[in-house]
Amino acid sequence: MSGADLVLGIVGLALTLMVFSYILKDNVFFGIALYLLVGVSSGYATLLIIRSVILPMLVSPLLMPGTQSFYLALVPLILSVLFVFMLFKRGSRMGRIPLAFLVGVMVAMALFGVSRGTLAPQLLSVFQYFSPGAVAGHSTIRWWGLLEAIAIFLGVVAVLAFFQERQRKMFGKTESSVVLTGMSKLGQVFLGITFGALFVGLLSSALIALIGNLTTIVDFFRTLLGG
Amino acid sequence: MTDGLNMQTCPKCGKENLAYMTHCVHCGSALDEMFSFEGQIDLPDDALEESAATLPFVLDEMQSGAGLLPDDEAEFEPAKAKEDTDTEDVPDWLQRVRQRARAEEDATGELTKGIQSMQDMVDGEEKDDSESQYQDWIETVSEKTQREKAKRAERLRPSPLDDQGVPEWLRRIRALNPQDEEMLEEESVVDEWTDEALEDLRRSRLGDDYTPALLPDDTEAEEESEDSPEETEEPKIEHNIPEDDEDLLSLESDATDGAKTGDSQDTPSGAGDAEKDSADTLSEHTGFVIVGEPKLKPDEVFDTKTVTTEPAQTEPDASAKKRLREEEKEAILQDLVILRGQHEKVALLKSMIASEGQPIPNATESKPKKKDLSRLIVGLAFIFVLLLAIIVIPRHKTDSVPAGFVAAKNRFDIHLDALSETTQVLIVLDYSAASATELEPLASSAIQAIEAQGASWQAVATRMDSLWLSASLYQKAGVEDPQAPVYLMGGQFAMLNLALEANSEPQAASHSALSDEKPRLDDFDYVLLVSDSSLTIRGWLEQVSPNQPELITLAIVSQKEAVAIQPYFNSAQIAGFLTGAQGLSGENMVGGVNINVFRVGLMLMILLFVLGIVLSRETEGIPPVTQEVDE
Repeated sequence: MSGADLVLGIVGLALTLMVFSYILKDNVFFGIALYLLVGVSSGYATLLIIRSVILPMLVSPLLMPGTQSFYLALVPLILSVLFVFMLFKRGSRMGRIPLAFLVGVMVAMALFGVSRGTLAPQLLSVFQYFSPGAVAGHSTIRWWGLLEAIAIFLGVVAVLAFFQERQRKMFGKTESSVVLTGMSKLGQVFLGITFGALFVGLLSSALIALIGNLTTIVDFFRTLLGG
Repeated sequence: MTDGLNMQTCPKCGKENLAYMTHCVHCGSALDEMFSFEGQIDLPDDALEESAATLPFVLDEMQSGAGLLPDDEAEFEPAKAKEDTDTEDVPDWLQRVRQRARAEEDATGELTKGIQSMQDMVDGEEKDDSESQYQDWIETVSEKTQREKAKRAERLRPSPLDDQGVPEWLRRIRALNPQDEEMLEEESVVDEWTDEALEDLRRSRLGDDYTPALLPDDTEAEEESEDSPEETEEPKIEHNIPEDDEDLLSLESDATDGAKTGDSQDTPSGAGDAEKDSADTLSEHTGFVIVGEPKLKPDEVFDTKTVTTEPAQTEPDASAKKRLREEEKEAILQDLVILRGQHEKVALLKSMIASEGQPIPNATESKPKKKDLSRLIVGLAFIFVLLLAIIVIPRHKTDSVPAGFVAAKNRFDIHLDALSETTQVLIVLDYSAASATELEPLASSAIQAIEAQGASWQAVATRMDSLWLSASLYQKAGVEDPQAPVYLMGGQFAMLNLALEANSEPQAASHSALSDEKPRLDDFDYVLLVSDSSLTIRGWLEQVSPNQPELITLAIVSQKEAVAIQPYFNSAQIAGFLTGAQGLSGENMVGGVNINVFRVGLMLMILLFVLGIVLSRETEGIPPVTQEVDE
């Protein structure tokens, strides 16, 4: 083990223990580790933005007047300058221009992307389960596939019914049909299973991370002790 | 304050006063400019005396001489007398003119006479008009003064008294706080002064020889007030402007006396008492209740002061009255405290209205009072058992892999096996240091498989921390001379830009500043997403995949995001994926850790959950602490 590895190992061990001290309560060691992470990340991000974005995308084109890149770079320059006005109370209206531009583009992108990348493919996927080819298979009926399709369809309808029932309750409407109430209860079951699966995945990831860090510490001491 | 106003100068002290002042505010002398009229010539006092002295002579002469003659004769006789005196000095031509004028009766002409008579008539009318205007003005001023007096009297009118002589406002306050009223009555009973006790007190303080000054009897005053109700309704208004010279002299003498005795201690306290008395009297009469420390004294507000007869301090009856008055004042102050409490409640209500919609702390939630070390003990025990498992349980290779998302893993393996030397793979790194332990073993194994198939690959990073984490990834994969990943800043914007640039002409794409480093998606056959966020994978599938349908998408995702990715695998938008808990074939590892230690950890967590459920049930048996809301 080299000296750098030893120092880095000790620092890593100390930082791990400092973060782990949060299990007792929020203390100064946890704060130091947290601020160290935030500070290092911010400094790294600033340098990276200057090197990867501002210099090549803004400064370099502006140093070439008359070119197409120069005129294109004026647009982000003006928007950036307008955005600075957000810092001042009087010029906050000017700062809304780039913000509105940004939000508008983001909303358009999200709507277009969701409709093309998630909504339509997922609907087609659900309908695909009920296609005659998928249900019948080659020569015999694929009962498991059929059950899977029914379960998926039932899950989609039940979850929609649950949200519909929840919306009605939020607006104070008490009367509802028995079918809708039953589907809503079934939707709760589907949602519970889904959130349970998500929670298990979260716990598994956390457990893997913990075991991985503990293994690294154990390996560090094994190497240090010559094991 | 006086800018734009005409100032008048006091003739006595020479100081400036406002234009509408009738008396000088500095010396109190009368200011007559108020009553001066336009066109009137102000004569000095000497000139007035001189004119007054010459007035009898003029009157005598008018009575005895030409003043009482007819107009024609009056005009003729002085001219005649003057002619006699000036005959010698007058030239010849003028004498001839005068002779002719005497000879002709109407030498001035009818027209001149008519004009003269019209002029006299107009002067008489103007004189009558000015007199009538003066009378109107005097009447207007007097009416205005009477109205102001009536308003003042109404403002200072006392509130109705009951049989015991208690004003209405005091009865309201006592009704608000009956407890204080009872205490006040008890104290008044205890402190009731008898005539004998008061006499003893007087003798002990002042001696037997002292004879108190006679004070106006209250009964007489009441009788007088009954006889003249108007006087009681309108108290005498006292002002500091002397009305005559005697007042002025007395004012000056008072000022000098006050200056002489200003250092003594009695005068300020007496003045303070007088101010308090005036304030109390005012509040009694008007029913006004002043909350807190008044910024202006009532006399300053109303510019009036009721005349109160100052009783002798030695009179016990007066001291008893004063004490009773102070007790009443204390009772009022206690009620004012209640009013302040009401103000606080209003402020609280305002704050509650302002914080409407914000989450409020749970009333049943109570912080543990004593230090809870159970979490620390359980956490340390959990860590200790895991450390023990890591040290004790050996690692060995096995072909068994944990179940879960098997179909996705099989598809992933199939696509990896299908790679060839002509295949281009784009690896997108999008994970943080917290997920590095879970993802890097899977990603490094995938990179090794790609290189083993002879396929070429290039990496890009959509997160900053993935840039430096790529070094450890390449190290684990055993990549020689690795190329640093290209940073794609902007999230989904960068992804969309990458997809659209791939569809554009190469010449147009070359205008981009980072065109040399950024990859073109149309050059690649596969894209491998290494991410711990389902949002990044969804963004790629929404922004890039619809624009690049030929690009086959594979993914290595964190275990916590596997459920969110599964629908995209079912819809064939993702060809296959690996998750952290799946591990790789031939390795007794799951997400880079020993699978047996992982199982021990799962067992411990299940145990902790059961323990938590039991403890939470015991906690729920305790009735929650509810915060009583003071209504």
